[in-house]
Amino acid sequence: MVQGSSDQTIGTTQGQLVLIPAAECSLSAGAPLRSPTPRQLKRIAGLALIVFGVTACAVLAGWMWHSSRRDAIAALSRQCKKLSVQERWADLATASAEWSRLEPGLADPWLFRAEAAKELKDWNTVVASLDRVPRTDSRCPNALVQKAAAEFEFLNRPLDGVKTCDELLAIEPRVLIAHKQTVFFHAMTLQRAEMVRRIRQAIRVRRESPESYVYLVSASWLYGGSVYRHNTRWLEGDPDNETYQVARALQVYGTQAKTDPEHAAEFEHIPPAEELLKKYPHNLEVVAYFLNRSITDGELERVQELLQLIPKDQAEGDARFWRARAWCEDTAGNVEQAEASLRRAFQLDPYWWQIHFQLHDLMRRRGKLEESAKFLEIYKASKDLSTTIMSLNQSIDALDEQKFCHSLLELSKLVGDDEVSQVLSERLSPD
Amino acid sequence: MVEATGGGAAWLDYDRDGLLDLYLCQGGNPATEARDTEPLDQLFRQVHPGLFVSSADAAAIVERQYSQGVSVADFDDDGFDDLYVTNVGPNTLLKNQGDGTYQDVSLIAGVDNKLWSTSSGWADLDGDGDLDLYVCNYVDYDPYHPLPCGSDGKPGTCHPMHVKAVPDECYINRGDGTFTAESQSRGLYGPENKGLGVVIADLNNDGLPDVYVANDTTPNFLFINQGQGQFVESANLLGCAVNRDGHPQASMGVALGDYDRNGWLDLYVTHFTRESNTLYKNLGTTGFQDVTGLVGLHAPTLKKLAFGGVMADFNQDGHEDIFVTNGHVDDWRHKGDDYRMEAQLFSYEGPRFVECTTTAGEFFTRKLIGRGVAQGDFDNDGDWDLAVVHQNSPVAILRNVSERGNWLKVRCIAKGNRRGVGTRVVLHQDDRYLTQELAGGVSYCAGHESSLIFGLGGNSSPVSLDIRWPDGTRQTLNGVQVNRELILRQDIEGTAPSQANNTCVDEIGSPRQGD
Repeated sequence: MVQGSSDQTIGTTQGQLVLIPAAECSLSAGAPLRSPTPRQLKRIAGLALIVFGVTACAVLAGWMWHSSRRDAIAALSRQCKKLSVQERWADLATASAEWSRLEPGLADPWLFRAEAAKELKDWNTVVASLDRVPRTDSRCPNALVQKAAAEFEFLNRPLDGVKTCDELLAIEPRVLIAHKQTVFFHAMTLQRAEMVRRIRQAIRVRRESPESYVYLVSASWLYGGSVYRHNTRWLEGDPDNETYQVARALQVYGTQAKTDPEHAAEFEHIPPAEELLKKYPHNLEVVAYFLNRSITDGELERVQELLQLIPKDQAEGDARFWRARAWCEDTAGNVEQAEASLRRAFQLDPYWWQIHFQLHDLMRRRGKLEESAKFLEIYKASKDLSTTIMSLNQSIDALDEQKFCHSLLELSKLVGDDEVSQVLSERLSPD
Repeated sequence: MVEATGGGAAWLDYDRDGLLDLYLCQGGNPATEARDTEPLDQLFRQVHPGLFVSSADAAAIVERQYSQGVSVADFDDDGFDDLYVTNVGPNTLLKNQGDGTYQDVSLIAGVDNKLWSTSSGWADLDGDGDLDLYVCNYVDYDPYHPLPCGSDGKPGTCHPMHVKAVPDECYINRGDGTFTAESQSRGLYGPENKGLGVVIADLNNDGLPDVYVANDTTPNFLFINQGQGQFVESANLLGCAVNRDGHPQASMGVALGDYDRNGWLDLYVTHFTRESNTLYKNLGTTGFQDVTGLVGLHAPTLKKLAFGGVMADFNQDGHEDIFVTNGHVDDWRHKGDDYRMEAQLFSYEGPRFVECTTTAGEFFTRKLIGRGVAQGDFDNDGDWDLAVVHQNSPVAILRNVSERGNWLKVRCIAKGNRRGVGTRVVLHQDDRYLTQELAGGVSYCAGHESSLIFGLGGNSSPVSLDIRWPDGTRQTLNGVQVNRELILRQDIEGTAPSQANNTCVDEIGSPRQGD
């Protein structure tokens, strides 16, 4: 609120009236203009000169500072390039650090800094540097690939690695290595549903690796030759991780290494399976392991108890649990329900040979001989593939990819998986 | 490797004195250059009840091959039990000459299969009235040039997947003392055939003998008889090729019976360690179902490596039990497997089997390397006794001293087939039906006595018998008294068997075909 007066302006501050001298009010309104005296003019001119001088100095200083900074950056850029060529990593680390301080929004200094850190095996700095590469920079995808590699490989932080891969795939969905690494991680940690989702994602962008088909075919039953080794390592960095603990233990149970006198001592630290169930009674993988065991032992009540342990939303999406339900229903004589459950399992995992066999078996017993024969044919094809996978032992390198993919193409057609048959047809076509 | 599989036995009455005699295969050195000095197979003649005398020499049996198994049949229908011995190398057909001696007629007969043979079985496969021979051949392995399958690169027991399969053979009896090998033309042929055990019986109740073959690590075969001596392999289609999970198993021997008394013969197949033995329940027209877990038979056999098996009602309570002999093929103690193992006995307590090994007698506490098992009522008391062959240990003759129920023993003398192979008898007592068949093959590398014994529990009331002879002729006997041995003759011609000493034997001639 402003009220006019001869030499004073009344303003308000925090609800109080304060007096502001008119000379300090540059925009006072309504005051009459009078001609300045010569003395006053001289004073004004002097002041103007001072203001100009100060401003000029400031501009000059700014120009000089900017010029010198530009020179410094240019020098650092040249220096970094030179140091990189000369492989003087410690000096490169210092120079790139300085450069990145001067130009934090630029990709280059961070890339140099990451390069130096990588050579110096300073993986935390590698990761931190690569993380600063602007997402809009064309070199960002490659930087994230390297970051993920460092997280998986050297920092033993696979969860961070997965996060980085996901970030990368959001920017560029067609990076093969990112698909490969995340599929591998979920395969090794027995996070089967997520693994399959990621395999399908890779297939859709035609960036699936050959081994992803191995994981796809064995999604419900593979414990993997190197599960123990990888999870043991990951547990070093994350000792309380339930997923790693469970995956590692299940692989040991699966190979019966714990009961093998030659190796029993090596696996002494792995708790007995029953203890694992007590510790993680709602863990999908642990319950699935016990379900399989109890079905084989013919323990109907036990299977029914185990089925109650898993949250419904998890069980609904897992072929193993539908298979267990089917077994209970079949055992109780509800063959119609058993068939429905097996068909649901088949939908969820169209490549699981045991489901094919059990559908064949149930159809036969129900007198549906045509369908039984159809599933027998599918079973034979899927069983052959599973035998191939099992014979790989611990090295997927031994896989005859061409042969495997041809067999899988046939199987995918038999089970009606258009997505897989389409992509495999493309890959295997002579053109 | 060949050392792993052998050891067979067969009960027979070669001298027809009414007392069972016992033939035992011998091993020795499979790669010797001096086979003439190798141990001979043994024939023990039961000269007195419970007293056996070594009689191979007297019977002119000179079988020095590295033997595996033996089966018994009167292939020429002369009234005397002949023997077929399987070997690693040429097999031997020993013809009983009716004078207490045998003659090796392998070459003349054309059955000197030179492969590594294991189990064998006899049945009228082509429906012409005489007995044909099915021989399991295992793998292509020459003991004189052993493969370095041992852990240290030395010869050892190879995993079957590392050794080439060789096909089984079927010899069709031409009725003139000679046979022709016809497995392929008859449809008795399948891929990856590593046969160890065979049972020949009517598994689909159509009146014709079918052939079930236990293959080692590859799917088992079920050759369904189409008539006219033609077969179609149908194990997958009928649910008995692989186990419940769809896994082929390392199958060894096969036991046959009708444990659930539904009138369809079930199969119990023995396996390697870490795989349980598998019970295939015969559901009827829809085939088989692996019910191993459901009847409580999975867990108890996981740590055993089983070979010979018998399904029979040992305690005569009306339900068939299961005997299994166990023993490893190699010393895998470093892998947690026992080398020598106890035999096992399971009693059917409906709907599950209960292991009763620990209460079955002292024998069941012994750790041995068991192979062939042959069932026979050697003491003629109307229950099943067993001969169990062990590697590097004496054979065990297990006399059945169980507390038992009522019983009926039936011997069937069929026309052209005096051991009655293929005869099926259904016993009807009050509201229950018990089905048994004189099968070919059965167990592992062994030959059973050619009789049927029905356990009847506490029920001593008379029974009815429906008999289906191998040629399809049917006969019904009503009001048959129990607790005795009954000898049924399809053909009144020929010679009747001698009566046993300590059992009540009734001999009944059956009407001729068409009567």
